[in-house]
Amino acid sequence: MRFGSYGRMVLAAAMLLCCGTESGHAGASEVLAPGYRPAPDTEEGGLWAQMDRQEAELKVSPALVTDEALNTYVRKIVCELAGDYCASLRVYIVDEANSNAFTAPNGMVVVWTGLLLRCQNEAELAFVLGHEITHYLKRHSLLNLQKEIQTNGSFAGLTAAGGIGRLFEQVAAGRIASHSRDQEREADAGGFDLVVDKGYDPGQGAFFMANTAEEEEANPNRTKQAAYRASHPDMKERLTVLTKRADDIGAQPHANIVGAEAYRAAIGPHRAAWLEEEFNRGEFAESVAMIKQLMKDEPQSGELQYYLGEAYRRRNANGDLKNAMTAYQAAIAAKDAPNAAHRGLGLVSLKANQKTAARDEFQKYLSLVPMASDRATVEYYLATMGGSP
Amino acid sequence: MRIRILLLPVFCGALAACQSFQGEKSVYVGDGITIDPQIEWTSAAGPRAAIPGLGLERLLFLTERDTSSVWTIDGLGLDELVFLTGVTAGDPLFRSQGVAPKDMVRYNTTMLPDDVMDMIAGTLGKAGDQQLRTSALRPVPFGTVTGFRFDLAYTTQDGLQMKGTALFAQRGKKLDVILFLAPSEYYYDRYAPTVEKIFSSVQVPDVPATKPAS
Repeated sequence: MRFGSYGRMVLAAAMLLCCGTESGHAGASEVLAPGYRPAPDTEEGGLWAQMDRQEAELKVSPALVTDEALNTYVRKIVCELAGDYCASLRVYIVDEANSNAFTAPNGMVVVWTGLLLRCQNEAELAFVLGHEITHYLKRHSLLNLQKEIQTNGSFAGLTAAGGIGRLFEQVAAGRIASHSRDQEREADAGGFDLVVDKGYDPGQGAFFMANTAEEEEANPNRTKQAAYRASHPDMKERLTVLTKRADDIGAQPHANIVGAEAYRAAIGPHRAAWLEEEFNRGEFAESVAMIKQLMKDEPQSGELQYYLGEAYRRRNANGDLKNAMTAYQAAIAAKDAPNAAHRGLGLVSLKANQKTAARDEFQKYLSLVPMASDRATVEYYLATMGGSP
Repeated sequence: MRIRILLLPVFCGALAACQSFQGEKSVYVGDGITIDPQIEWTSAAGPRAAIPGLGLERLLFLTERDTSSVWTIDGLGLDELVFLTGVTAGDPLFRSQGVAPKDMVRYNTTMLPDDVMDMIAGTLGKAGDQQLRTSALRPVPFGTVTGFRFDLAYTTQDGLQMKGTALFAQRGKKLDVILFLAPSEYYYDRYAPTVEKIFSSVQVPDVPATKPAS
């Protein structure tokens, strides 16, 4: 499922491999039965075997997030949505800054940390997972495989794939066949039904999609949609449909679970690291937009203010020096300000030729983090300003 | 990474760009900089023009500048000493396959050492490396001027855990970067002492280093 910047966040890539065998599956249009596994000598069985091998590699990947509490939390949401299919789905959280989630035909559910960073509550994540579970239940990948083989005689999308890392690269680049527009519509509808059935706020899916669109549109360098996007329903259409369905339900009694606090508690220990990794995408305009979205729910967060300052400082566009300064100052004024906010404010003050402020902030940073690994560099800045560390 | 390793013999068999340094005490690496290689290295990639049409910019960190090169001992992907010298304002460190040039992070002369470190990390991130962490930015000698070092760790798209160390200096209006990258298991530690000596051997003409903006 694509939930972010072009060429990177992908909407449910099909993850198909060339099987090269004649069709012998149990009927692709049928919904899977719980516990279903295709016979190994069928087209679908070959596909599953390929994905099983990818999954085995993923299990030992250094990119796997192994924090048991976080895995348990996400797995619980998947299981509640999937019901009888819980045992058929296995969740893997992967340390990858781009925003994405996808489900392989064999039941491997992959969630990238970039997606977890962007979701603001449990209901949003549940919608995304419900969308992916629907792809799995409806066997969309198998349908795509059959179509590909029917058209080309084989499926070339991943025949040269070199393991799980290359698979992710293919997924991120949208080079693997994506689902059809109708399949995406079906997955949106199915995901919506699943989250509503479990009492989640029906409006959060549309909220998430709107934030995704806003982040994407914030990138001035985005000149084209990724290839896979051509097969996707227009974002406006998806938003309209999801919003209307949510409004229809809004008039009825409903639990409206949002789960913001539980969600923040689950991802809280990881968020700072994920934000650091976010910047290595080099899409600072998107980072600024995304952090501002998170701040709507957490306006007092010193952590978010600090990373907003970092995003501005690294983007370094016109006005960003001042923007960064304001954000760092807000971070420092907050209760949970990271100590590094003083260093950040020192850096932008130095660049703005505000030496007194820079000196003060650098000295505060060193007093708060006397064993900082960059202490010598901060002392260098102080020395170049003519002050003593 | 497997591709990188396999390709080295192909390059060195076919290209004049492949050159070994053995027994030389002073090798020019661009922008007036010379270093002592310490041991035998093979220059696996030089100026982009030397290997036209291969489309492997990302793998080899090739750039359009004549002063960029990649050396290796055991093979690309196993150990890489990357020289990105003479980077001028508006330049990216290197071109990356699949990334539009305008999307690459570009150097500007007002960058502080922290900004340069972020630029190097961001460039590697754009090239596809993941879970990238930088640490221990510190001033060190770069020949007779002040340069900076930092350490990095990341995971390649193939899932290989890598370590690296970077040395850079802002001299005049240009940026010079020397990067050593190797798998954290075995290769990095094996050659880290040699790389330390290489970094210490850097010699530059007497051009004052750029000071932070003030």
